[in-house]
Amino acid sequence: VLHSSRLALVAVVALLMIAGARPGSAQSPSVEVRGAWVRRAALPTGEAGSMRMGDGATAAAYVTIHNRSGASEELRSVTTDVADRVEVHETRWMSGMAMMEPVERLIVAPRASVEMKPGGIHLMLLGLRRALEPGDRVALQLVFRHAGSLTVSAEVR
Amino acid sequence: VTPRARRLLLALLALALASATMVAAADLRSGAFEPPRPAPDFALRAAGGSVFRLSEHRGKVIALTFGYTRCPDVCPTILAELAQVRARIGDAGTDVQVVYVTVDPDRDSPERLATHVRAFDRTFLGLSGSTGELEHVWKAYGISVTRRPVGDSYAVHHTALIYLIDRRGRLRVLAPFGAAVGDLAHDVGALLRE
Repeated sequence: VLHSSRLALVAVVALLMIAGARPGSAQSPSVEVRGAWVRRAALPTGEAGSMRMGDGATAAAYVTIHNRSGASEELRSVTTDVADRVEVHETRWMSGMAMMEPVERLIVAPRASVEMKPGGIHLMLLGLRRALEPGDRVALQLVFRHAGSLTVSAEVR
Repeated sequence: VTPRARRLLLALLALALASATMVAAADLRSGAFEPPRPAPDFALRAAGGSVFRLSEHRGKVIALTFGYTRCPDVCPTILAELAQVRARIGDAGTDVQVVYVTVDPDRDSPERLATHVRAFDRTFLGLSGSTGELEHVWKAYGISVTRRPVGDSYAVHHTALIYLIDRRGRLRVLAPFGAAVGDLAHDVGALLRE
C-alpha cells in the first residue's frame, strides 16, 4: 500500500510539473501566463428577437503575460470552449466615461509584462455558451507568435 | 435670557451644527455631496412587470449605478464590488438596495437585466424603460451614453460610477470606478447608521 501511494504521489508531482504547477498559470521557455481568472456571468434571457439562450452574452477574462525572451512577442489569438470567440479589448477612460476599444495587436515587449485587469486590457468572451459560476474553471488557449500555444485553467470569480 | 446671552447661544448652536455637518462629511470616505441634495426621482421597469419608483424606497440606502448586460469588463466589476459590499455589511444589508439602470434599452429588457444582476446578488434590481425615459434619468445623474460600433455589433460608452442615496432620499456619495470596496462598505455602513 505504501509503495503504491508513493507511486501515486510521484505521478501527481510529475503531472503538476508538466502542467506548470500553479492553477491559472502556464509557461513555455519564453512566455509565462499567470493569474488567469474569469468574471462570473449569467446567460441572460428575455431579449426580444433573441435566437437562443444567452444570445449576445459576454464575459471578461484576465491574465498576465510575461515575455522572458529578448524579442517582442504577440498574442495572436485566444480560444475557449465556453464562448464563440475571444477578442482582446481595452477599456479607456475619459472624464469618468468608460470606452471599450478592440486591441488589434497585443504586443508584449522583450522582458516585459502585460497585466490585464478590470477597467483596463481584458479578454472579451463573446457568445457565451454557458453560465459561468464562481468556482468553475475555464480553459483558455492562448496562441503566441513565437511561443506557440499555451493553455491556462482560469477560475471563475 | 438677555439678548446678549441669546446671541451667544445662537452662535454656539450654529457652531455645533457646523461641526456636526463637518463630522458627517468627514465620516464618508468616497466623494461626498456637501450639502446633500435630493436624489432626482424616476420610475423605471423591473422584471415581472413591476415599476420601481425611487421615492417609494425611502428608508433604504440605495446604491445606484448604470451599465448594460453586454458590458464584460467595467459593469460586472462594479456589480461584483457591490456584491462584496453587501456581503461585508452582513445582516444590515437587507436595508441596502442595489439598483442597476441600463444604458442599452434596445437590448436590455427588465428580464435580461434581472438574470444578469442576480448572478452577483439575488437582491440586486435591474431597471429598463423607453429610451426617452432613460435619457431623462441619465441626464439627471450626469451619465453620458454613446454607442460605438464594434464588429457587427456595438458597445456603449458610458459614465461608470456609483451613487449612494441615504434613507431620506438624498444624494450623499459619488464613487468613481475603482473606489476601494472597503471605502464603499464603510460609507454604506455610515449611511445605514444614520
